[in-house]
Amino acid sequence: MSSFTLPARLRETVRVLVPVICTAEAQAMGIIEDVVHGVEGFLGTLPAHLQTGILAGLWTLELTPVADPRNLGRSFSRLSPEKAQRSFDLWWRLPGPTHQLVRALKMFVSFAFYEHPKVRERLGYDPEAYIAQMRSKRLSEHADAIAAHQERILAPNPVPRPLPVVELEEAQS
Amino acid sequence: MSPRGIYSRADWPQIPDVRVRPRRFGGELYELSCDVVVVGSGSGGAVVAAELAEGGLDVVVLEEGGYYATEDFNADVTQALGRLYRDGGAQMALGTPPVTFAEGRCVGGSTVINGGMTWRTPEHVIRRWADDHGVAHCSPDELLPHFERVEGYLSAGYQDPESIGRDNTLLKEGAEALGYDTIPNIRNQLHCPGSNNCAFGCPTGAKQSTLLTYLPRALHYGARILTHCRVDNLLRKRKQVTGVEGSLADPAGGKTRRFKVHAREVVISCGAVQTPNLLLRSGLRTPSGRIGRGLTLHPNTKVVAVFDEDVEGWKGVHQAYQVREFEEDGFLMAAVNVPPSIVAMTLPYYGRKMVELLDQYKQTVVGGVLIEDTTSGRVRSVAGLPVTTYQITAEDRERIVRGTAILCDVLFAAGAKRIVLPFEGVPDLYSKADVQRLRETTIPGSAMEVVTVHIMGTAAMGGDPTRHVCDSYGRVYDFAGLSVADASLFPTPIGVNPMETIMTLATRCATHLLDRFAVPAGAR
Repeated sequence: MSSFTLPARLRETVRVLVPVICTAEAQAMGIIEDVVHGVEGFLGTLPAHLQTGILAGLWTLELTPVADPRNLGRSFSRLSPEKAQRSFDLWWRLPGPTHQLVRALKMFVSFAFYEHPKVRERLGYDPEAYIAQMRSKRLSEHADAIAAHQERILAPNPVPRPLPVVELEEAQS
Repeated sequence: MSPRGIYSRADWPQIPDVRVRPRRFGGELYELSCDVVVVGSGSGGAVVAAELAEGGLDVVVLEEGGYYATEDFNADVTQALGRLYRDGGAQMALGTPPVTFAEGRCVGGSTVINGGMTWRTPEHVIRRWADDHGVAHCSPDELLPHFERVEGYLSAGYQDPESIGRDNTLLKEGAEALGYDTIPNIRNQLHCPGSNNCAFGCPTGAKQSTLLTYLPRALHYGARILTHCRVDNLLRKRKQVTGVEGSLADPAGGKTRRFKVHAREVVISCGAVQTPNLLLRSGLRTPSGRIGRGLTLHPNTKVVAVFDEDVEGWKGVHQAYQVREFEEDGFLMAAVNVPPSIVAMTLPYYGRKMVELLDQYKQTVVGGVLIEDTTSGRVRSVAGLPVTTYQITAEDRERIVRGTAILCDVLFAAGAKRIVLPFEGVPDLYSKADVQRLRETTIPGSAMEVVTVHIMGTAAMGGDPTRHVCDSYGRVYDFAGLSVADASLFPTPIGVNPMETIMTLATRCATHLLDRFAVPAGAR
């Protein structure tokens, strides 16, 4: 897997962002650090130019609240949960590219949250057990058909070539 | 452990016939010669490779991604996005709205991550290609042997009934209650038990992707598959293409490795975004000037419907049925279960509202509408990277809303209690009356969440070099030794899942190449 890591300051930003996007349950479940790590894992799959864009967006989200006098010079990661929520809500309502950026952040965080095993378990979503059961069922019930198909795949079977070369050359010209 | 014949970056010195040369500024250059080099191992490349290898040619397949086998696949979506998808599945066609699209980047290409739908090209599309685009030897009868051959290798057929999950039966019940024509999907599967993990690699081995069919066949007949090879340029002497050059990716860092593969024929099968990008990046210009133009992508949208009962959509096959009632109107529908992480990503809201909806994940059905588009976009090559632009027309936006509304009708008829729309700012629906209101709502393109996995048409084939990039068999006009075998060739969108059409065209391409190389039929 990718070893992509966020700068320390932006890890703080994402830590504050997790309960805003996924509610305080993320905190109650004790998985915020894992979700931040999951966000890094997802970002690691993206090409460099997108990573750069996302980092720029996170820096903007982090630093913009400083300009709001009500925040007393605090950046996003230093805001109280209520103020962080308000700040994100404000960003979400902005039109155009800003909204697209905030939406992308929401996508990464919510993705990482719902990939977490504890969250999957809470939803009753356990695909691995089902997959294991289906895999062994298929192999035990259809072993002969599977073997026959594998044999067929490797058997000689030259591709039909109904078109004489001359005709093809004419089609070309 | 990779099967014999698949070589990763570290294996290059052991590849038969490879020459290693020092480079002037450090590092090494690997050189290799063969009859045919195929770039890409998905539905186009794998078929060409297998058919040519069986035909007696020395074939090398270059794949940018890595090799992963059935036992590597599971429900870990993050891992799958990193290993199997190009750019983590987050590619985008720029426009309003932007269209997110996904492509495979692994041995087997997009066949490893697609839904496994195996439909022949509709007859009216085949006729349009012949009549309007002058594609030679292109009639339903002439293509039939190729379709049948492909379907045989893919074990194309209907699902075993016990593999069909509740999400799909609900969709079918809803459609039938409204009198809509619904058909069982034909899928490339062999006794698929329905684990609904198609998009992240089939973990049961049931989906017959090229990873399990054409590529083993290619290896069996002597082809070599080289992984982690990014092709940067075509090698050519004026109008004669003589091979490819590129770099070997090393995620762990390490010495620079460059490679050149010299070949009598180069077949490009990188998909309808990367193929034109490679052609343009290599400086090719064809008489039509249409490389990269004509991009179509079957825009699709998804809704999330909540039911009272437990549906557990991950238990059962992906897309067992398609609602085909509106095929002539240019759209079709299906149940397309996705994991909760993907549902959460695409929801038009966050916080308490998102969490409360996802708490009902077990009771949800995800439905999708696929639109046959009426416009086209373009792929440009900017600093070597593809930049894709696509502007959905007002007509297609209207069809998206209409198709979505009909899908909501179907889901309410099946008993849905609430439906979340892919349109930001439009409230969730709770009744059929709400669907009527949706029909009367004007939804701007910017509010639509549109995705696709069907990218087509950027190096179109046809009989006229001034209108098309490739001839009827995929040979690039005005260049010798160069063919295309992927969805780039489609002169028009086809309105159904494109895999079998790509494979059929690739079979034709291989037939043609065997004839050109004068390899006697049944050489091996």
